[in-house]
Amino acid sequence: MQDNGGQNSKKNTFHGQVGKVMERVGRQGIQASVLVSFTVVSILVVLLLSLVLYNRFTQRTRVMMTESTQQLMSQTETNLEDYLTSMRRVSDAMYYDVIKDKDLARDSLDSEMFLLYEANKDNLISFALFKRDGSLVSAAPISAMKSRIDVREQPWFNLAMEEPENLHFSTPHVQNIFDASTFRYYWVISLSRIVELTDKGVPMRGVLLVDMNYSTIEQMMERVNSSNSYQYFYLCDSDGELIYHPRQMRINAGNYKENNAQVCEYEDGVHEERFDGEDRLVIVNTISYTGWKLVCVIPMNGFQLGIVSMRIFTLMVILATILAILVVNRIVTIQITSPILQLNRSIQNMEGGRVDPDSVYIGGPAEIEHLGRSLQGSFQQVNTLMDDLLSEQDERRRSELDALQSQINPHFLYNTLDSIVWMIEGEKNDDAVFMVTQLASLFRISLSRGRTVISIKDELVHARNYMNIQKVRYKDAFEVYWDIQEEVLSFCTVKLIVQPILENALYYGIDAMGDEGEIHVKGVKQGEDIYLTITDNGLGMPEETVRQLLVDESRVHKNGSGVGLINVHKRIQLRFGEAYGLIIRSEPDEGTAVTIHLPAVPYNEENRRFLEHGKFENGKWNGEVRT
Amino acid sequence: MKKSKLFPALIAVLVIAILLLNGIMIRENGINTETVQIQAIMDNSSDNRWVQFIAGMQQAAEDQNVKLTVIPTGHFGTLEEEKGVVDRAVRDGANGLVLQLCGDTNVHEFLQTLSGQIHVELVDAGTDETLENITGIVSPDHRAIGEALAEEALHMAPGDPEQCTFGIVSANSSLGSVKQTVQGFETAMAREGIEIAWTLEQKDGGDSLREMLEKASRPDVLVAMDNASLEAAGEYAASLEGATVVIGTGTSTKAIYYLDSGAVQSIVVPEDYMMGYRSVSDLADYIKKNTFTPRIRKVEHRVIHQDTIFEEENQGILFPIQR
Repeated sequence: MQDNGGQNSKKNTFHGQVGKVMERVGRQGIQASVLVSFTVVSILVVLLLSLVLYNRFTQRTRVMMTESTQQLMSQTETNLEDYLTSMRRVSDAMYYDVIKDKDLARDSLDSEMFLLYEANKDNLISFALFKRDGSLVSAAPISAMKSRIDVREQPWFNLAMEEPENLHFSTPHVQNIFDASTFRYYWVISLSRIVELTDKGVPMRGVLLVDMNYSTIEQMMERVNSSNSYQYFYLCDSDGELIYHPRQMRINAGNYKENNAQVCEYEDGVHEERFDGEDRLVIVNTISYTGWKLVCVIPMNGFQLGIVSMRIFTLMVILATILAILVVNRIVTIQITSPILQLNRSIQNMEGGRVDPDSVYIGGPAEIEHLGRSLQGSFQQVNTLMDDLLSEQDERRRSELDALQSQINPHFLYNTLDSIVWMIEGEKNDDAVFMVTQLASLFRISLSRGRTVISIKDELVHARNYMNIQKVRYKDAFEVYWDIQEEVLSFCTVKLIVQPILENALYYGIDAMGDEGEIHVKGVKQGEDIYLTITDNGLGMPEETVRQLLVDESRVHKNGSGVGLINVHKRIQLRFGEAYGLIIRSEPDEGTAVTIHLPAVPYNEENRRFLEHGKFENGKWNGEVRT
Repeated sequence: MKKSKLFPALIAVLVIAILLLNGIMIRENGINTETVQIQAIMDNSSDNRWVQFIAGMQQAAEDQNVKLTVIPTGHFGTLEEEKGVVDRAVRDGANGLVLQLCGDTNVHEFLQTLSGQIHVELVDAGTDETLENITGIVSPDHRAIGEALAEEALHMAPGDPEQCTFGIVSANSSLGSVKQTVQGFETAMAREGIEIAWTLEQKDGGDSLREMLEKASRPDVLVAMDNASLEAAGEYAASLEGATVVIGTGTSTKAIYYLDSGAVQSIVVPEDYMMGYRSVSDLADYIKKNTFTPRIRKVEHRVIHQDTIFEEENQGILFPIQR
């Protein structure tokens, strides 16, 4: 259970790590996520495939090399067996055709032995026949036997004597029974057997020695060894004594090791072994009759021909594949994600504010294109809704302001009418007529057939009407001076903007001044601007109060028409833009000057209509004509 | 920013890795296909004494996959004569040279002229040479061989060694190896208080060693300091039918035959096969890898008597399986 817990913990940790990595990659964006995912999967597949193919290739190579080697060994084995069989036949021929039935006392073996030697001298070094006591009977070629040599001490002699039923092949050795007067010593394999001799009619045993030329076997083995530089073949007897080895001299000198002592115990077939720090495959075939073992040694790394180059090449192919995968994945990723990213950028632009629906990306795959078109439609709807909303808000505000502007202070109306009544009762009919006339003009201009924009001339007429009425009411307690440039009169203005300022001047400025109140109304055109300035010599205001006048909407005129300066200011700005409106300057005990700043828009029907429904900003029309 | 740099960096790393691997593969294939040529120059290369040495070199050439050429040479009287053959080997474009120095004068200057032109591995050298300008030295310990000869001479001497006469014979006393052997022998004999009765050295144009031996007073013990003198001493002793104990150093089958026949009583045999194998193997390593550390290698020697010639461990050394 603990193990399971540990494994689960490890698994969770691994999953957690992978999850963290994927999360981190995910934060880099969809392109990075897709690219990394594609690349990781592709590389894993490539590595897996490479590994599988490499192992498969190695195994196949190993099988093929083993099969090929076994074929080669089979051929070599056949050749060796043929050679050894032929040597046995030579021995048989010598025995049965030359020695047997001959009486050594009267028959010479020399000539027949020599003939047989001549016929086989390519594969033979010598024939020699010995009696049981070791004395030489005959030899071919004829050679002097070394005087100090007792053949009974030779291994081949003893072996023949011990096992008379067999022919015996020795291991290679330097022939040392004959005098080498030509300074030549031969490596031989001795084939010895017991033979029946007859000497003076008495049968006896002897030993026939056929010294086979070792170079014949050596050449056979060298031929097979020259086929491949990685694998090599050697030959040993059943006891593991080396008969041939391609590095025989090195082994003799102690410079090379071979596992022949162990291999001689192997059964025929393929064996794996580790010897002298090297893993290798050993194939063993036993040569019939002799029991010799033909051994092929293939170092495991020999299965991978040109191992370094092959590994480097494989690595190069893997790296090139990864490179191609990266590039292709990059291109595919960009192809796939680019429309999504462009669409995303469109959405990001929307987050920044109003979006032009035409700027929304339309393209890429059908799904993305559809998404883009849907988004574009949504943007268009949103924009329309926003415009409608703004328009509604704007309209509502204008309506509110206009409605407010249209209100006539009931006190003003009551007082005016009261004054008219008083005049009529006092039989001041002319004054009453004047008052009624002024009041009528005031209302006419106030209504202006529902128009909001009128000429400055009408606006000033309205202001004069108002002031005339107020002068009667105030019994000429103040003076109004009009200084208006003639050209100013023909420009546009929002209606009923001068009257509230005059009203403020009266209530805040002049009321407290007694008979010394003065109000100056001045109108000038400067460049493309019109300035109408209403100046009083009233109480004035502190600077703080002046600052609040145009920003604090909560201020309500306690005695005025209910229309604050701020409303006048906003109405001007709503029609003409932020650059226009009221400019107020005031000094306590000095008086107040309120300047109406308007653009010089000539009053005509077209301009009036534009101003009624649109907005004038920075000297040009900016807005839509609403119907 | 980070993301945009990662991809090009990854591509650059992969491209560089592929180019590097390509370079390594080309180099690898180049080494495999390029044949390293090694030439061997010895005094009188056809002499039977070189059979084991050449067999060793051939085995190493096969193992190392290099091309070996044994330059046919006669007897070099001086280093100057040998220099002509060496120059020809350099002109032939050999990569390495297995060289037996046939003289001991101006050796340093001689090797210096070869430096940078060809890699030189010295064989059968005296031990005085330094590793300057060469890749290494493979040689028997000639001084030890001389001492072994002295030991054998004292052991084989008929009767009291102090009463015996000892003669020394050498065929090529200009060789450093022979000088070392003689020095080793004389030092060891002097240690025992034995005096050398006479020393015979073959001179160019003079009598043959056989003639010189016949003219000299017959010693009780004749010691041959090289293979050629051992063969001559064996031939001389064979004619005397055992009156003189002959010992010497050599490797040829002729010398061994005299041991086998009883004319020579003892031979100190250097393992020339390993000298040949090591020299070519080391040189090929040096040429291929260029990182091989130059070194002096000593090969073993063994003392052989008549009754031990055909022992299994000796016959493999004394009678190389020639190809």
